[in-house]
Amino acid sequence: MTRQDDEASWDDLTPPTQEELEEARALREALEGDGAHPDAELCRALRIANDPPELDPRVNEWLVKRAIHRTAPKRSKVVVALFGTGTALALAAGVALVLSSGVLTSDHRAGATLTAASLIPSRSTQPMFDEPFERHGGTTNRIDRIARTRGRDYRSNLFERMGVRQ
Amino acid sequence: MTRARLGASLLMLAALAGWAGCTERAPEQPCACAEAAPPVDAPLMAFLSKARAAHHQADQREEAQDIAGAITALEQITATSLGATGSLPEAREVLSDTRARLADLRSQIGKYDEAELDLVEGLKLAPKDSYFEGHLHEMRGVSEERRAKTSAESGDKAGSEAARRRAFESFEKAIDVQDRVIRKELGDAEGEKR
Repeated sequence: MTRQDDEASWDDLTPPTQEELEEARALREALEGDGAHPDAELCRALRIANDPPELDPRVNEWLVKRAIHRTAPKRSKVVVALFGTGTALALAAGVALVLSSGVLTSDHRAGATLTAASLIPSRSTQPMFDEPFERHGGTTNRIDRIARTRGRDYRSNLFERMGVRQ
Repeated sequence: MTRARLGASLLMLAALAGWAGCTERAPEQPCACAEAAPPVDAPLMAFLSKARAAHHQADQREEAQDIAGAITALEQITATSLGATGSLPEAREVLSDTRARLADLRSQIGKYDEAELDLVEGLKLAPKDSYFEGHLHEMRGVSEERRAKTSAESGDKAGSEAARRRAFESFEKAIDVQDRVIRKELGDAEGEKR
């Protein structure tokens, strides 16, 4: 299809109805943070997918730590193995103690620990703001922003608990 | 090996095993020996959603010049029984910001003492050296300025002067806090560059 064909097909379209114009206006306002619209979340998701915002450095740091931490159970076994170089008695006591203290865990327990470690923690919202608050007004926008951001964290935690990797 | 030596060996191994368990965890997920930050969960989200709705209600009331109605809307947030969720940073910060707005609204209708109570409560919740803390000091300045004006209009010269002085001190505190926040942020940015 050429550009001219494309423009011609736009012209052939039925003009938008008043209802459609009002819907479009409501969606635009919702995207600008004023009011709500059922399609606004989808549009925001598409916008973020196309042009992701910069990742908060603290969240980035946390994600890196989480990824590194996933190798922890293997290291635990190495630590436990070191205890086995002692006397036979020490080895037996060491294994018993390590098993009872949970360092050497079953797959299920290791999985539970990893899931807990992978959840995004509650934390201060101060890094979201890079300038002092306006003297009057602005509180609602701040609360909106906090709720939206933590809503994403909550969904991420929900998927993590369900075993769905993002 | 005597029983005493065997016992001592077992105790030493137990201590070492416990220490190994702690050192194998990621720093932000400490073991039971330290308090771990709880995850973002449903109760926190429910509170944030409630706070968001109440602030929008308050906006509508303010637009309709109904300051008392706006205060009532916001009191739904401060009256919420939060349990453990109340100690989460997000909940504390949202509550402190709500207290700042309540103080602003109350002082607009001359309820200066009630506004001051909100500011005291807000300052207990706001993190030290944060925009939240700075904003509360600023709101105290605004409230005291309004009190000074009311006192002057009613002929209470001494009361007006005292309120004006408190306003000045509060604005000064706000500036100090914001300065510290900016320095901290700039320090963090410099640290990240290095």
